Amino acid sequence: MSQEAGVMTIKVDPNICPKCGATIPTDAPQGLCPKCVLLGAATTDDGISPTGTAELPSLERVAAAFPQLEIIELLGRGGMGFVYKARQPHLDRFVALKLLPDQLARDAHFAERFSREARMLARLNHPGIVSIYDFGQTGGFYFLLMEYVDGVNLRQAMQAGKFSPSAALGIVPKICEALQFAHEQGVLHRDIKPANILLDARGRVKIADFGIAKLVGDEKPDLTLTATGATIGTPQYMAPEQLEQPGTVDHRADIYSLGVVFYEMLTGELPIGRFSPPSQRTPLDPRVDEVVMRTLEKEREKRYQSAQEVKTNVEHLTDAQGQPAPVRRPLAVEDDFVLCNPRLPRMARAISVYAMILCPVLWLVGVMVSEQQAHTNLYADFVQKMTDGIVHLGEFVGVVIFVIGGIKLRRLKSAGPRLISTAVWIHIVSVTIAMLGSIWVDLLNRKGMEDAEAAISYGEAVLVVLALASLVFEIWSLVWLRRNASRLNEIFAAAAPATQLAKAPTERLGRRATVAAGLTIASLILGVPFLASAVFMGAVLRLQSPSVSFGPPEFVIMVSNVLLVVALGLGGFLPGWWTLRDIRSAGGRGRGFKRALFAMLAWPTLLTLVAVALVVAALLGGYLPNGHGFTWKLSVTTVLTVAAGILLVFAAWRWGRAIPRGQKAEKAWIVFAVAALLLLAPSLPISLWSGMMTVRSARFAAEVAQASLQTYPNQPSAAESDCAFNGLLLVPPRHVLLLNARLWSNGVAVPASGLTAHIVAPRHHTHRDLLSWRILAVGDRGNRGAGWNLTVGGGTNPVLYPPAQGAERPDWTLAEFPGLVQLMPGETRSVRMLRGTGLTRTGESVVWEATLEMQLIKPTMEEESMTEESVVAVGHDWQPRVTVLAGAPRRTVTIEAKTPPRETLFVTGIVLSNGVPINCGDLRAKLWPPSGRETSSFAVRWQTVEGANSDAAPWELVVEDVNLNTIAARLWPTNLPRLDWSVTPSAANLGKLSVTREARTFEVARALQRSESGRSDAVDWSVRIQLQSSPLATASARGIKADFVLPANQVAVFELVTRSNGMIVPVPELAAYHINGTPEMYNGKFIFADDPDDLDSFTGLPRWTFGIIGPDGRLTSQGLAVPPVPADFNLTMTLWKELRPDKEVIEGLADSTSGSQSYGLRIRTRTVKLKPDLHYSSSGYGTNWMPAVARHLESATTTNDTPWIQFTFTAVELREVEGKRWLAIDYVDRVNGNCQKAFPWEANIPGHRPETRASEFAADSTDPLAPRHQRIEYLLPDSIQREQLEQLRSTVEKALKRKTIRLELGEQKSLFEFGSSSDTALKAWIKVGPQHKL
Amino acid sequence: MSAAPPTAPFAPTRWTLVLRARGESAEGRAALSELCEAYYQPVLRFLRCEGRDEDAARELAHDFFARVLAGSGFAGADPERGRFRSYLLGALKHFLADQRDHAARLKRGGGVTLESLDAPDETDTSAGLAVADPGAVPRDAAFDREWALTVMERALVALQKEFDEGGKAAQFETLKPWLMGDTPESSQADAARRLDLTEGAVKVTIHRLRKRFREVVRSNIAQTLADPALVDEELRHLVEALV
Repeated sequence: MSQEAGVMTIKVDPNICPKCGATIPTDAPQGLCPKCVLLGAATTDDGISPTGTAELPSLERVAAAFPQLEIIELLGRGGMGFVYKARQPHLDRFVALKLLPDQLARDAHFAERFSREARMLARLNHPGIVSIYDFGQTGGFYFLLMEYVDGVNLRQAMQAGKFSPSAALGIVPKICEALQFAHEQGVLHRDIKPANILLDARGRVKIADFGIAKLVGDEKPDLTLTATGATIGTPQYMAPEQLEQPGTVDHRADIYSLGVVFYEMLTGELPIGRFSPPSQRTPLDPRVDEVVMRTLEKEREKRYQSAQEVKTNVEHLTDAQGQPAPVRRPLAVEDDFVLCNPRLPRMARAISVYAMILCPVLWLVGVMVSEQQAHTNLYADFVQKMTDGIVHLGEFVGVVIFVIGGIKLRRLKSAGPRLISTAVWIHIVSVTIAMLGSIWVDLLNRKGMEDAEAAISYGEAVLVVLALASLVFEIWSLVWLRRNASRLNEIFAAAAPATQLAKAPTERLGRRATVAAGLTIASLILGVPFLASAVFMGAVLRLQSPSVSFGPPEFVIMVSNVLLVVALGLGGFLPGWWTLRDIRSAGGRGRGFKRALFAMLAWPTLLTLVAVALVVAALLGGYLPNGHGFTWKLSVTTVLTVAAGILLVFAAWRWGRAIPRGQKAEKAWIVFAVAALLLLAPSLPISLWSGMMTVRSARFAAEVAQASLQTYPNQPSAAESDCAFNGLLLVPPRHVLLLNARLWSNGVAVPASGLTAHIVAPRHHTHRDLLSWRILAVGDRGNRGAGWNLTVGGGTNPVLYPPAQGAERPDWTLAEFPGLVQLMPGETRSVRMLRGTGLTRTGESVVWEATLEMQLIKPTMEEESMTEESVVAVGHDWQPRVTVLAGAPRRTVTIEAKTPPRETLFVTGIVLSNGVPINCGDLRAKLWPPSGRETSSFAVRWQTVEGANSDAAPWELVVEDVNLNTIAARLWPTNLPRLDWSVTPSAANLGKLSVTREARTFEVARALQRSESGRSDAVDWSVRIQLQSSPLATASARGIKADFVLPANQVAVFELVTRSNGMIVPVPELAAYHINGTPEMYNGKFIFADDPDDLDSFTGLPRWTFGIIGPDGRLTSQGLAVPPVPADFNLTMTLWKELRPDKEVIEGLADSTSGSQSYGLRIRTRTVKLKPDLHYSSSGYGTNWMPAVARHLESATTTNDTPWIQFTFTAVELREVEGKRWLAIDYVDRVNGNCQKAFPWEANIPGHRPETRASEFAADSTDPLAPRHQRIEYLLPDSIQREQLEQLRSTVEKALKRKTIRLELGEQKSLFEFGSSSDTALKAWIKVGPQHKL
Repeated sequence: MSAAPPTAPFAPTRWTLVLRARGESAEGRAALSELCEAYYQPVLRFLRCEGRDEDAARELAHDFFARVLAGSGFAGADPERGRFRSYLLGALKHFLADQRDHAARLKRGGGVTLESLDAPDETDTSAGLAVADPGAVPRDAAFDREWALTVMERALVALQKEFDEGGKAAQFETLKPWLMGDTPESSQADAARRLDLTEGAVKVTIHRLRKRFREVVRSNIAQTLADPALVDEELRHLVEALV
């Protein structure tokens, strides 16, 4: 059995030491645990270490020796043994277990002495003495079981922080009490030192280790000083006689030791050698010196003779402190104020606080927020600058005087009220100057800007209110100071001695306070502009001029500035606080209190107030753009900063209030201050960031987020400026400026389209652009009969024209421009640009006006989707341009659908959820056939969308017109969950198909979505495309349908017109024409119809069909439009009209009274004379029919261009067909517009006119002027021999191949000649004549 | 103090001889070379711990000892130090610093890292040491630990030799675990059975073994000290180094 056990213990794990349980390292010699082996070598068998130093018994060993205790931890060790913290479970209390050193146990007499002494010590029952519960010997230990004191000893307390004199004075009597009690019991401590004086959590003082020194150290009491004994005491604290004659020690030795402790508490130093009295080392009541020095007398006879005596003397000192004692106490308790002197009346205190703190802060905020206005003229600018200069200087001087005055008032100096009064007067004057100046500037600015509203931002309004409030307060305080002058003087007079006394010595503190205050001032001087420039100016620069980038270097500069400022601020704050603490612990004596206070409070207060200012600005101004308003960062920062500031101020206040009340207030202050700093720490970086953002946004809102139009600084020339207005447009970043020119006739808006443009400013900088508005004279370049035009951006940018006003064109002049027009986001503003007078047909005078309507829009889209580039474009449809479609479509299905001629294609997207169609917005498109004759083809593409838009719509349907290569429609679903769509396999092979009148549906994509409950029944989504064609439908409930007959050689122009004030104004582009160049009458139909189902896929507006329908029933023009016809347009008109040559008819246009509008159809006919024999017929969209017919006009031939024809020969060939031999020549011919394509060829063979035939075998286009590939063939006579044939071919080839010949009308040119003999000669020439026709 | 000093208090230790001769007399030189031979291992291990491979460490150790034995390092030896261990560590650090300066001279290809062309072989146990191990023991502590192990090993070897000579090799083998301290009684009984002795006799043998071991260790340590009174302190230091 035992064998087995033995085997087991060895073999359990050979790598584990059986003794200590540690893993035996691999390099251990002989596989033995090296530690245990060497420890064994170091220890003798009886367990006592021969090393001389007491070995710490292991916790286990102690625990084994004391089964009735729970040993918790080792509290300390020393010459006297080890002290453990333990718990007595049955009493549920903590005890201290002291184990005496091992070697004592070897002393035979120790046991007896131990029990004797211990019994006596156990009798010491006093609240100031650590009680002994038990003692004895167990498990080889001598032990004492003592009261456990939960706290620190005086040594630790002194290390943690210097004791204030009052704290020391509070502790000493308690020690004395305990000592006195013990001495009365006949027990000496013999080892009074800070480590033996315990302070528990409740502030009680307990002396530990009474008599232990004797017990432990006095091995042989009869001998004088033994070597062992000398090491056990603590010589620094021993009385001289205790060192020299330990045998004769009495209670006065303890008093000496107490004196050493007392001295150390007061000064932090030991009284060694020739030491100075404590009051010379620390600000102290000199009477304390007396007590301390007497306890430290070398001769015990001169010392206090009892602890009680010491106690009485110390208590006397403490009691006397409240009295007007002979002690130098320059500042009474009430003088230790933080901000306000309590002796001052309440109003005076308020004035001093205002002057010292609020006024500079308000000034700083004002300086930071003040902004440069844009002025319309130099004069205003100059006035503004001069006023600013005077006001800023005045205010700065005023603020400085204010601060000095406030400080003086607080210090009860009679100069205070005078200075404050002066500062108030300066302030009043400068405010007056500022107000007058701004009114003046405003007047100058508003010159000629009647309709411009005063734009005061919220921030400015807040500032104005604050400024007014402070002004009111200042005036009030001025009055108050005057009225209470005598009362204040009394107070000042009474305080004078105290303030004199304040100049007491302790220069050290004063110097430190000065340094602290200096650092603070330096940090304020450097820091405020740094902060301002770094945070505010950085942001402003970035906003105002996009070329100044805010890159890493700027960031580094900013951060280093901020760090510097923070370092300086801390450099002021910390020594300030330190000095203040010392002054306080000196009982309020010491110079530099105010400097230190300033140094300590300046930065926390400034930070707090700045934070408050930011919060107020952010709260009041809901104007912060981009949703940057009240972000979490800002809120967190401000809450933290404000809390920190409040804590700091509160802590300082509390601390300042509680001078003599000892440690508690000190501790509370530290706790509060640390808490405040901890709060402040995270908020600093956030506040920097969000402060920057806030201010940036605020600046943005107040100044830059305004679009403006002002007269362009450099007007081109005097001559041009009469008929042109050049304006500078500024569009703030991330905004869209819509420009809409409008035409008014007698104050009634004239419908005019195409006068809209927009500017999309890029994401990061202001867009600046030129707006030119020109009055055009007849014959001016670009005049289309409109009278004026408008360009945004100049150069190649779009030009906007009003509709031609025809013969009734008004006589335009520039209206007076107000100089500067500004508008805020969301605002619409109209500026009158032109005025004009005209006549109606009836001869009445009409006043015309052209206005520019500007609207600034803040797009409600993600900032990221804004472009980095400016966009200037015509039309109001800015939305698609600013959206960036990132990424390429990931999955695509394309169906190429062919529709029969003249049939409309309907494309419908259907979304099914588990087989049930759901409504996902309008997914239907109706596509008009582009041409009537041919089959039209569309590519219908389903594709997924990725990037910025993918959240809005996961996929889209794009329909492309394959022939025109344009996108005809784009459809996307709405309210569709984000799914992972995949193309169905069948859809991938759809390819081309033709669409019939029966709807065909294809499933293109599918997606699976787990249902929300997580069950297995997933939702199966699918997308289907339905294609259907249907015959062209032109029937409409609304619109005009006119059957007309057009005589020969007439052009009819059908125009939709409006009448305004009796003046007919055509709606541009809503027009169609038909040219009838045939000898017959033309029967046609004009339609202007809307199809209520047919919504434009881009805009969602109803589409209008507009154009001419030919006899074959097809719509001949590109008659699809979304014209800006008013929504209430309700014209239903059907008419039959036989048109007369060169007439104008107006149908449906009721003659209106002034101010109303009506719509109608104006048909004008013109005669055209086409070239002879030319039958030409064409229809078009718009009124501009001239280009279409120009080439065919008869008069066109009379231009200066000589008609010509050009031949380029490409190939020569000899061929034999059915026994006949032919010479074939291929060529390409081109003609200019004035030349008929005359057939040119003639060939002559003597005696025989060869047969020719020509063929046109490749026409590139239907255009008659386009080059054509042609061939001419000569039938060769049989007489030509074979070899002659070859000769002929080479001759002809040589003469013609790759040659170009150009002939003018009537010219003739020989091409080649072959053979000389009469029977073989062949001669060919060409001749161009107008009479010839191919 | 019941434990008698194992060596005669006034007999010069080797280290005293070395110090006295300042490494110049033949006697001192012999003593030094004996010491160096004995404590070759800690130096080698120390060099290994600094991230060298086996061969480089050995080579360096050779150089080092050559230099120590040549006495060139002795001019700077501080006799006050009194401990061979401290002296050796100091000299070694000094030597390494010199070596680094020397190697870093551009003339000798400084700035070039030498890399082994051979793949690390099986015997090279230092593969893992090439990379600095953040948990590694600080180098002085490592040196002391190696030193302690060497002291222990030397003592064990000496003891084993003694037992072997006395024909009691089996006794040593069986009883050496008791050098670590007391193990359960049952195993003592077990050992008694195995050695064919009574339990009492085993107890006595173990006691003697321990005592002898203690003496050997202490005398070994004493040889490296100038003052034999420091033995306890040195021993304690070495125990602590093993933690």
